[in-house]
Amino acid sequence: MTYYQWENLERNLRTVMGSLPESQREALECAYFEGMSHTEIAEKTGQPLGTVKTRIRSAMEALKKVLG
Amino acid sequence: MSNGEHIRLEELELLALGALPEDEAAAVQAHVSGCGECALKLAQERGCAAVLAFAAKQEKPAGTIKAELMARIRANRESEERLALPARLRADGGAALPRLGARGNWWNWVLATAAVALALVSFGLSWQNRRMAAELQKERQAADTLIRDREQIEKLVGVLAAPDTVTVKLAGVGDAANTSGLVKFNPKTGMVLYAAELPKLPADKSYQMWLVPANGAPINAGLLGAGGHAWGNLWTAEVPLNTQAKAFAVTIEPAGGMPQPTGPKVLLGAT
Repeated sequence: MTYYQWENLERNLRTVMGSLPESQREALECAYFEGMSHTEIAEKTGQPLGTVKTRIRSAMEALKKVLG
Repeated sequence: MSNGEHIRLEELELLALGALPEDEAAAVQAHVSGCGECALKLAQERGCAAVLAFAAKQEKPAGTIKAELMARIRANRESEERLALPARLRADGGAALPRLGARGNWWNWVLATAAVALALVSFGLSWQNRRMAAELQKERQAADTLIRDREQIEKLVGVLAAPDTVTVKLAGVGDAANTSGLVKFNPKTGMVLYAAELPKLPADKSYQMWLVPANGAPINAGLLGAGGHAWGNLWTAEVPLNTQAKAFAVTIEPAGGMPQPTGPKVLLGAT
């Protein structure tokens, strides 16, 4: 992967992160950047565990599309 | 947790993100360590999670940061100049000091105490300086490691994400008959090998990967273990691009590897 392709990937990833619904982005950021478990995210957001898992799953699916 | 025999993708994603509680993570890991298919999916999810780091929002520092830093540097410099002033007064033979008669002895004690304090501060700053230089060196080494890891992740994603990557199953041979492996190979982007648990080797031996080209001698694809690049049981191999492969193998070689295979084969598979 060239530097240009890498830069392009970074830009696309940030664009997708920016376009995610707030609830999905929050769930993903809590998990990945803050190291919280899904149960901790559920407690923090006051949402059922299943909802948190679905939000993370949807966010990951959107990001994988960028990776091809 | 599992769908039939395998772990659901959703659970693997959560594990790759580090979002599974410890007990659930341990249960998933226990399954993955014995299941090649789930291990491969987990490696793909980890590759995806790794590049997620680059989706972080780029924060621009506040405009006042530079001004605050310069003000702190100026304040430190002024403080050092104030500490250095008594030394300058002594350097001119005390001519600048007022003649205080009997009170001169009192001043000498004050200046001597200040000189000792100054020496202690200098020693402390010098020690702190050395400590910070060592920390800086450590940070540089950590940054180098991150750059190397990023290059390997690029390679991994390049192979796993390419639509024309082929999968070759490797079968265990000899003492490793019970193990197995998978090679993901793309002549344009490279080679990734997944090896299930291989028997432990003595310290003077290494597992070495080989690409057997359509024509010519086997090509060294790097080591499994010390000296190789791995994420769990997933190894990125070093092979020349645009090579047509007819088979892949793993052999036992002297530690550090050999230019051509000399030892027994443990994994073997043909395209």
